[in-house]
Amino acid sequence: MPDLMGPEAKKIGRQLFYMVEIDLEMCSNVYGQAPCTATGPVSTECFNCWETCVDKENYTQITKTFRFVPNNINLPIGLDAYPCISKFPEITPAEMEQMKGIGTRGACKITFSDFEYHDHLDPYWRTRQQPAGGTWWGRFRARWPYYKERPLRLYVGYAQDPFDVENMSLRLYFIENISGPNSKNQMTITGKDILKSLSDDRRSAPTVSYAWTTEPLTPGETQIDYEFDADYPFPAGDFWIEIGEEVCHVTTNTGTTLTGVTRGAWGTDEKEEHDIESAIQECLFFDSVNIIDVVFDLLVNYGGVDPAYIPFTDWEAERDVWLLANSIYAILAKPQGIDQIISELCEQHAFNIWWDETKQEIKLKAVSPETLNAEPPVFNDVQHFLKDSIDIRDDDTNQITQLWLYFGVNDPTESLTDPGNFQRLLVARDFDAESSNEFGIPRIRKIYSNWLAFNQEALARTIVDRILVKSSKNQKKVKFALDAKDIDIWLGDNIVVHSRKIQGPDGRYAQLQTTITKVTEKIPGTRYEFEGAAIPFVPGVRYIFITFNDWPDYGNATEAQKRTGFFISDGENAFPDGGEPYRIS
Amino acid sequence: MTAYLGFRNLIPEGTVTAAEMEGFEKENAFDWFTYTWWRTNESQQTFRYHVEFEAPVNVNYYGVAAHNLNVGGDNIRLQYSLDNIDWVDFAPIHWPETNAPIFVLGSAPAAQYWRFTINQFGTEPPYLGVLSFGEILELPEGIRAPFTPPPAAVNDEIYNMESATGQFLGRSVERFGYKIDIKQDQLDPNWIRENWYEIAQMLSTQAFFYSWNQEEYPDDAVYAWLDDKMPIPKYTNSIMMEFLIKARALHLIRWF
Repeated sequence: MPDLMGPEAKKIGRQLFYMVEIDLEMCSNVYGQAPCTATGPVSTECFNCWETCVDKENYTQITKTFRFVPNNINLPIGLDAYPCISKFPEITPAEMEQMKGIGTRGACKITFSDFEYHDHLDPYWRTRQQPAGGTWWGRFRARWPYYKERPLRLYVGYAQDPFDVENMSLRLYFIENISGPNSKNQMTITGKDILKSLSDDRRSAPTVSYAWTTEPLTPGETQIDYEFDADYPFPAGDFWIEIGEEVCHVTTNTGTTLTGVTRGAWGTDEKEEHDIESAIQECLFFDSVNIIDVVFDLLVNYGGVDPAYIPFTDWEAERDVWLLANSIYAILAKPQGIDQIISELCEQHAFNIWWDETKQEIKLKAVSPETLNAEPPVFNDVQHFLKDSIDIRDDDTNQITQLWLYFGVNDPTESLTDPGNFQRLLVARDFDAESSNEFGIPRIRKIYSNWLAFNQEALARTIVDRILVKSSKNQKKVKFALDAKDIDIWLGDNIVVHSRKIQGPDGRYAQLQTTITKVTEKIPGTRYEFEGAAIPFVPGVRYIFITFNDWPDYGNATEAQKRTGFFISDGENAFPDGGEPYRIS
Repeated sequence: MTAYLGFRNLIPEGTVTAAEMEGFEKENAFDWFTYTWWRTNESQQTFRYHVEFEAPVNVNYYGVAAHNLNVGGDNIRLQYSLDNIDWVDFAPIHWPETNAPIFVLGSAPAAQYWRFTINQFGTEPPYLGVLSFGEILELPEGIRAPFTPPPAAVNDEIYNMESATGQFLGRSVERFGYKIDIKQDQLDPNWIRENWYEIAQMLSTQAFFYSWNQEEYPDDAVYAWLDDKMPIPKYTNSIMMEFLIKARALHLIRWF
C-alpha cells in the first residue's frame, strides 16, 4: 500500500494541518435576472439556496463547497476557509469483522465553534438594508437544512509551502447529521462512510413494487389482470413475481395483464385463491451470476452507490484467484435491506467488504489462506511500535470448531432460519481443536444459506474449509500504535508483528502474522492505533498454487514464485538451492 | 523604547475604491479577520486601495497583517493627497521580507485622500488580510522585564513519538500562533481614566497592532487579539495603576 501520509510524515517537527470540506447546493442565478423570475425590492432577495428560493421552477443547482480549518493554527494565505474547527476530528474507524458483512461503519465527528461573521457569504450583502445579524452557523442552519448524504471530505496532512491540497491525505465520508449549537456554542457534523447509505431503512432489493391484482386469481390461472402505479412499472417480460407468498414466473407483460404465468415456482405453493387487490411484488433473480457481480449490482443499482467508488478491476483479480466458483442462483421474493443481503453474502460465501475512506473505495477480499505465503511487512519494538502500545490477548469470540452449513432453500418465502426449509446440510469439524489436547470444547456456528443452491456442494465444502482454517485455532487479538511515518498499512492489510511480547516455547521472540481489522487515527497525522486478528499458523501446512504453464523450473524461479507455486522435486533430495521438497498432505 | 497600540482604523469611516476579485472584496481588508482577504483583479503591476474622507483626517501609523507580499517580492506604501491629484508618501516604501505584520509610523498633515499603493512583482496579485491606518496610541510606560519579545512567544503543542524500546520515532507540531502579555504598571490613574474605556471597547470588538519597541525592533510588531477575559486595571498603591492584557498574536506564519 502506498505511503498514506507522504514523505512529510518522516520529518521531525511536521506541522499538523487538517481541513474539512462539505458540498451542498446553491443556485447559480442572480435574483430577479432571467431565468430567475423572482420580483421584490432590494434587500428582500433570497440567499441563493433552495430553502429561501421563491422561484423554484427556475432554480439552477450548482455545488457550493464550504471549507473549514482549525481555529488555532496558521492559515495559508488566500485559502478560502473558515477557521472554526475547535478540536481534532474524532474519527471512529471502520472495523472489518470477518465474514460478518459490511462490518462496523466508519465515521467522523467534527466539532466547530460558532462565530460572528459579516455574512459576505450572502450574494446580496452589499445591498441589504440591515447588516446581517446572528452568527455564521445560525444562518447556515436556516439556509441549508438539507444535508444528508452530501460529501464530507476530511484532509489530513502537514503544512507545506506552497500549500497544495493534493499533498494531503483525503478521507471521504457522507454527512449523516448536523447538530447544534449546544450549550457551549458548538456545532457538530457527523459523517459516515458510504456503506451507511445501505442500511436497511434506506435501500432495499428488490425495489418495492406498487401493483395489485384487479381480479381474483384462482389455481391454474396463467394470466393476471393488474394495475400499477406509473412510478413502479414492471418489465416487458421474463421476470418473477411474488403474490401472497407464491412465486410465479411471468412470460409477457402487456401493461394491464401478465401472461404466460408459471405458478408455484421456487418451492412455493400455488395458493387456492388470491383476492382482488392482492399486492404483486417483482422479485430479484440471480441466474448463476458470480458473487462479485451480485454485490456490484446490489451496491450500484439498488444501493445507489456511485460505481466510481468500486475498484472493480481489483475485485475481478480477487475473484480470479479465490471466488471464480462462487456463483449465485437464487431469488429474493421480497424487498430486503441491502445491508442485510450483503451481510448474508459475506457470511455464506466467506468474504469481506469494507469502505476504505483513504482511497475512497469499497474493498472486497475473500477469506483465504494465501497470506501465509505472502511477504507482509514486519513491524518491531525498536523501529515501529509506540511505547506502551502493544497488547496481545487471546480472543475466542469468533472461534469456530464446527460449522453447520444449511443450503438449498426449499421455499424462499418461508423462514430462512428454519433447518426444515433447507434441502442440504454440510458439517465441517476440526476434531483436533475439539479434543482434550487442545480446546476441549466445540464452538458451533450455524449458517443458513439462501445463497447456495442445493447442487453447489463442492463450493459449499470449499467455503466451510476456508472458514475453519481461519477460525478454529489460535485466535489472538493484537493492538499496537504507530507513528505516522509508518502508515503504509491500513484496514485489511497483512503484517508480521515481531515483539518481545510474542515468544516461542524457548523464550525467543516469535512472529505473529496479523490482518488489520481496525485503524484509529488517535492524533491525525501523528499517532495511529491498530487492531488486528492474528492469522493462525498451522505448522507444516503450506498453501500453494498450481503454476502457470510458462513458469520456469524451480532452479530458475524467483523467490516469489517459489513461495507461491507448486514445484515437484525428485522426492528424496532437496532442491538445488537447498530448499526442502514440497510435501502434499 | 516606546510601545504602541495601533487599533484606530479610519478606513471604515471613508469611502473605499479598489478593484476586487469575487470572494476577496475590498471590505475584507478592514473586517479585522485574518482569514478573509482583499485581492485585486487588476492586471497591471501597480494597483491601489483608495480611501476618501469627507474631511481631512490625521494619521500617524499604518498596519498590514495576514499578507503574502513577500512571496512575489511586492512592496507597499501608504500615500496621502490634499487634492486627490498629487500624492505624497506617508513613509518610505516597505519591502516585506516575510509575511509578518507590517507596522509603520510616520507623520503627515491632515488629509482627505489616502491610498495604499502596491507594486506587484510576482506572477499573481498578493492577498491582504488586514489594512489599517489612523492615530496610534502610545503606551506611557516601556515594557519591563521579565518579558518575552512577541516573535519568541510561540505557542506550539508538541507530540513526541517514542518506540517501545525508547527510540525517538517522530514528532508532530501543532501551531497555535503566539501568546503575548502586554503589561503596563506604575501608570498615572489619569491616563487610565482618559484611555481605558476606548482600550476596553477595542479589546472586545476588534484586533490591534502592537509594537513593544518600535525604535529598535520594528519587526517585532504583531497583530493581536484578546485571548482571555477582559483585563481590569487596578491600583497597585495609592497613586499608581496597572493592567495586563493577555493576547494571542500573529507574527510570522510559519510553514515548512
